[in-house]
Amino acid sequence: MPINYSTMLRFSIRLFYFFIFLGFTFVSTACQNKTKADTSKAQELAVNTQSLKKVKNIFYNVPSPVEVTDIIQKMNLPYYPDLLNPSTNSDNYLTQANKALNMGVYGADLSYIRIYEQYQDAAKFLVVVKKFTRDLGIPEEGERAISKRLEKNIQNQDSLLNIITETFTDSDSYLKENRRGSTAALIIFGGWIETLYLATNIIDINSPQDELLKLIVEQRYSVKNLLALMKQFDDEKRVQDFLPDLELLNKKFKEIGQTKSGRPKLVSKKGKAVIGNKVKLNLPPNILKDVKTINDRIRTRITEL
Amino acid sequence: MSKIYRYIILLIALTCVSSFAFSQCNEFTKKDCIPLLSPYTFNGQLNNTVLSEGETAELQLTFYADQEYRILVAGEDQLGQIRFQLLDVEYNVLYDNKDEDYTKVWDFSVESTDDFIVRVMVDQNMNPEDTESGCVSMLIGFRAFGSRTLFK
Repeated sequence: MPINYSTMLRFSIRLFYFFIFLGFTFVSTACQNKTKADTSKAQELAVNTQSLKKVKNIFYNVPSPVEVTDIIQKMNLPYYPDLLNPSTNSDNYLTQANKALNMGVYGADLSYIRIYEQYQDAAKFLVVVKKFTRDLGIPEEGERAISKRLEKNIQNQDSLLNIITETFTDSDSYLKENRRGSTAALIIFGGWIETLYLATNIIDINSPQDELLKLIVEQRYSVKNLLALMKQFDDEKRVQDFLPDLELLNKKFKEIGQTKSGRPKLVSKKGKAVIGNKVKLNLPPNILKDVKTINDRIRTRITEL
Repeated sequence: MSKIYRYIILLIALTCVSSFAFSQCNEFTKKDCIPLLSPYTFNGQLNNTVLSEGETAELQLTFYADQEYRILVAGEDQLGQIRFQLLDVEYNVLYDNKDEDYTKVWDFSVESTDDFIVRVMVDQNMNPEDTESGCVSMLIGFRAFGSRTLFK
């Protein structure tokens, strides 16, 4: 039977427009931020949780370098610029995966620099982060605005915080939107490893500062989520490269025991909601050294030229 | 031949719609949701998904004792009120926004650093034939404990 290509083409175009229209209709009402839905609709809601079908998606978030360095800021520790990955190394990371990993590293360094208000260093590292966003194909529109704002606000810690947060938020959003979740995960991984690297190299191993020790051992929680996040992309070669060491780090952190007293419950303190949970961590000997050894190895593999 | 051709076109069209919807979902999150986290700092990780009525999504993460947090959960209008809960890792419910008229935003802190789960649920409509689906965003903001003036 002869194929009428003209008819088929017309049909295909119509079908295509139909789905575009369908898609537009589907999302056009999405983005309005109304506080309450219709009362009648609310009444229709079946509140019985037994009717829930399934967990469709599980997301894993890890604390951002900004969040962890915020905690370090309160400890009044000296600034250690020699620990940072030199900005001059940035030209040597050539593959997309290595650029993503080191974008995370430089982002963590930038978060660390911010808390010490070292704006000359901040400018250098921000240039590197911008270079990586460009190399990773993340649109430049936002970057130009950032660059202009930076010139005006380089002496302001909070503005620098905004710039870092916006840069990494835009990157995460763009990469996920373009189905490059593995690249987004590598950025997060690089940032997490670098933050732990800074903490474990700042701490005095023989006479650890209490607050910093607490912060390091508390990474026992987030490493698990980081591992789960990375495993979602275990078909990516560069992710595979790091999984064995990350598993090892997770295993090491698991050696830190925890004792929970009672069941956590929601309480109100001075009018604020507080989850009343009591957790005590029990540290095995040499845990700090062991964690540092594994993490240093991962960090070296990320930043090596 | 003709059937295969049609399937290919259908697949392309569906992919376009899916990408378009996902892109719109991100825009919604960035423009309409992230600003609601202020004065907290966004943790930089976008958690979006398309849910149908009766479905749930979970976010697993760590909350530090040294920080204050804001959870923001928002969804498309057709989904109605979105329910979310904070759970411990043994799935005990610690907070349910249903008790606060399905508020989108909840601020809190934790006494000890630990792992938690944010569970988001789109309740099932009484009429199973009238099932809606739409974008849901789950965002986390943080700020130093006791901070009030990070953003003016």
